[in-house]
Amino acid sequence: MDTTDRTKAPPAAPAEGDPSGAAPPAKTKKKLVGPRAFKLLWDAHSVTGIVIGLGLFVIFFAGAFALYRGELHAWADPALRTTEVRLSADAVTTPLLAEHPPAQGTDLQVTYPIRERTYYFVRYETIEADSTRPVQAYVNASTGASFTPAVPNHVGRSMLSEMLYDLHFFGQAGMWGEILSGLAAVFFLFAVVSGLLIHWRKLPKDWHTFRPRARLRTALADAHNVLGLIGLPFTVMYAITGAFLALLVILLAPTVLVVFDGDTEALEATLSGFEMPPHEPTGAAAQMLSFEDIEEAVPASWDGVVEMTSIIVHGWGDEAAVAVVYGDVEHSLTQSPRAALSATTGEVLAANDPPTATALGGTTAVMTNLHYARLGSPLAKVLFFLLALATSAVILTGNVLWVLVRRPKDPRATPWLHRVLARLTVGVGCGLVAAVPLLFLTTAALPMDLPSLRIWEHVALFGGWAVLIAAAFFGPSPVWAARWQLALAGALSLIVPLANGLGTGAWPWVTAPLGQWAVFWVDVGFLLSAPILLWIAWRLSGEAHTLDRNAPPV
Amino acid sequence: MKHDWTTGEAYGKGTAAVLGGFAAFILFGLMLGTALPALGLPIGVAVALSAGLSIPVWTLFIGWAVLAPSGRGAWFRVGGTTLVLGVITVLAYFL
Repeated sequence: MDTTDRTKAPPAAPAEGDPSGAAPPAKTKKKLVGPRAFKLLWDAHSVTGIVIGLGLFVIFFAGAFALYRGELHAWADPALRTTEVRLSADAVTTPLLAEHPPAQGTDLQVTYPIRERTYYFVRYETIEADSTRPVQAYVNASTGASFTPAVPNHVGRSMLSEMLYDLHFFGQAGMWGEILSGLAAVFFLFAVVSGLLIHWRKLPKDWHTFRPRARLRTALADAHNVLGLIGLPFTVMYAITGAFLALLVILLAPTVLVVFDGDTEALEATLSGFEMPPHEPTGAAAQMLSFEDIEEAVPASWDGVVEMTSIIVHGWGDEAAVAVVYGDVEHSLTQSPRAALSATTGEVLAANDPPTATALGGTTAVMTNLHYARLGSPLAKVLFFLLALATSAVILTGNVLWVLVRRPKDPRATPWLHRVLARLTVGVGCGLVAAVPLLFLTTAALPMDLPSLRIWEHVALFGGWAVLIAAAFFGPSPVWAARWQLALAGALSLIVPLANGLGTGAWPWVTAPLGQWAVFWVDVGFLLSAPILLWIAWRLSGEAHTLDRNAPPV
Repeated sequence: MKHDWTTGEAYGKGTAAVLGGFAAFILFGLMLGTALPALGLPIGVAVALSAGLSIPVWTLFIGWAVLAPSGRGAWFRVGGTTLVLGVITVLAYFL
C-alpha cells in the first residue's frame, strides 16, 4: 500500500504526504512505468489496499495460527497430548469396533497420527439402533483415550483450532466466505504487483531504511516498507496459492461440465492419476484383514518412502471390500501416493505407482503444500508464521499511514471516511490481537467436558472482538483505543501459559521433557509475544499526541 | 489521489476489474481446458495449466482495466478479450 506521495510536491520541498518528511532526490531515477500509468497504478494500489486491507489482515493473522492447526488441537484439548509411544491402528480400532459394531458395508475410515497430528481418527456407521450419526472417535495415539468431537468432523472437544482455521478463509460464512477470501487474494496479488511497479526505483533504499527511534510516523512507514519488501516473495506466493485454493472449485466447475461432461470421478482420476477399482458390495460377509496386514500389503516401492496418512475400507465386512491407502512423502511437494487393495486378500488392485504426480495433481499438490508450509524442516513453518505476522503488520501500518498522510491541518476537516477507517483499523486489528488470547484463556479455563464449551469459545473470540471494535468507535481517539487494546492483548498473552499450567499442570518445564513440543511452543509463543505487545502499547502512549490531533493529553 | 478520476471512470474500471476479470478468469481456464487438448496436449496438462495460470491472468486483466483510457475502454478491453476467449472455447468444443 502506498504511504508516500512524491509527484505532487515541488522538487526542493519535502514531498506531500511523505511520512519521513525527507526531500525527494534532485535527480529522479528511471521509473518502470510511464507517468500516467504510475498515477493510475498508485491510486489503484491505494484503493485496493484500503478496500481489502482489513479482510486481508484477518486472513493473514488467523492464517499464522492456522499453520499450527494440529499443534493447537493438542494445546486446546489435554486428551490429545501425547508422548512418543504410539499405539497401532489395530490396538486403537479393536476395542472401538467391539463396543460399537460397524454396519455391514459401511465405509470405515482410520486417519493415522503423522507429524503434528497426535491422534487417530476413526469414523464409520454403526449397527446400534439408537445411533443417530456415525461413530466418530478421536483416539490419543499414546494413551488410547478416546472421545467424540463436539461437532461432527471437527477435531477434539474444543473448537479453538477450528475457529481460527475457519476464520483464515472466512469459513464461518460458508462457501461465500471462502469465495470472498479468494477474491481478496486475487486483488492482493494485484496490490503487491502494482506496489512493486510504483515503488521500483526506491526498492534498494527501502530495503535497508528502518528508523525505529525516529518519530512514530516515520518508524511506521519504514516498518511498512521494510517488512513488505522482505516478505514480498512470501506474499506473492500466498496470494497465488490462497486464491487458487479458494477459487479452484469455481474454476474447475465449468471445466468439469464442459471437458469432463459432468463426470467428477473422471476429474478425480485426472487429478490423482489413480482410478478407483469397482467395489460394489456383494452382500456376502467376509473376514477383514487387520490394519497391520493392509499396511504390509502396500506396493513395495512405498517402503521407507511413503508415510501412511489414512486408510478407508469401502464396504467393511463385505467380500468385495476395498481398502484405499493414502500416503504422504515427506519433503515432497508433488507426490500423493494412493493404493487400493482387496480388504480380504491384500491383493493390490490399483496404485499410482511409482507415486509420481500427474500434471493436475502436481499443480494442486504444489499449491497446497506451499500454502500449508508442508516443506522443509519445522523451521520453514516458523519462518512462514513470522512472515504471516509481518504481513499482518504491513497491512495494518498501511491503513494507519493512509489516514495519516491525508490528515488535513484542521482536524475538524478530516473526512468521515478517514475517521471511520482509523477506528475500524484499530478495532479490527488490535481487537483481534486481543481477542485471540482471550479465546485461548477461555479454552484453558473451562472444563473440556462442558457441553457449552464451544459456545463460550465463540463468545470469547467473536463477542470479545465485537466489543473491542465497538470500544474503538466509542473511545476518545483511535490511538487511545489502540494503546489499551494492545496492552490488554499483552496482558492476556502473559496469562495464557499461566492458565494452561494451573489448569492442566502442563507448565513449559513439564511439557519440554515429555516431548510435548506443541504445548510447549504455544505457551512460549504467548510468553514471547506479550512483552512485544506491551512495548508497542507503551511506544504509542509516548507519541499519541503526534499521531492524533484529537487525542486527549497523554 | 494522483489521477483525476471521474465517477464513470472509477465505476467502469472497477466493475471491469471485478466482474469482467472474473468472467475472463473463468473463460481463460475453460479455453485452455478445451483448446489445448484439441491441439494434442493431454487433458490433465491442459487443466493443470488452466488451474495454475488463471489467477495470475485475472490479475493481469485487473491491471489492464486500470490502465485503460476510460471506464468504457476498460470494459472494451476486458469484455472484448473475454468474448474472444469464449468464441475460441466454443469452437474448440464443437470442432
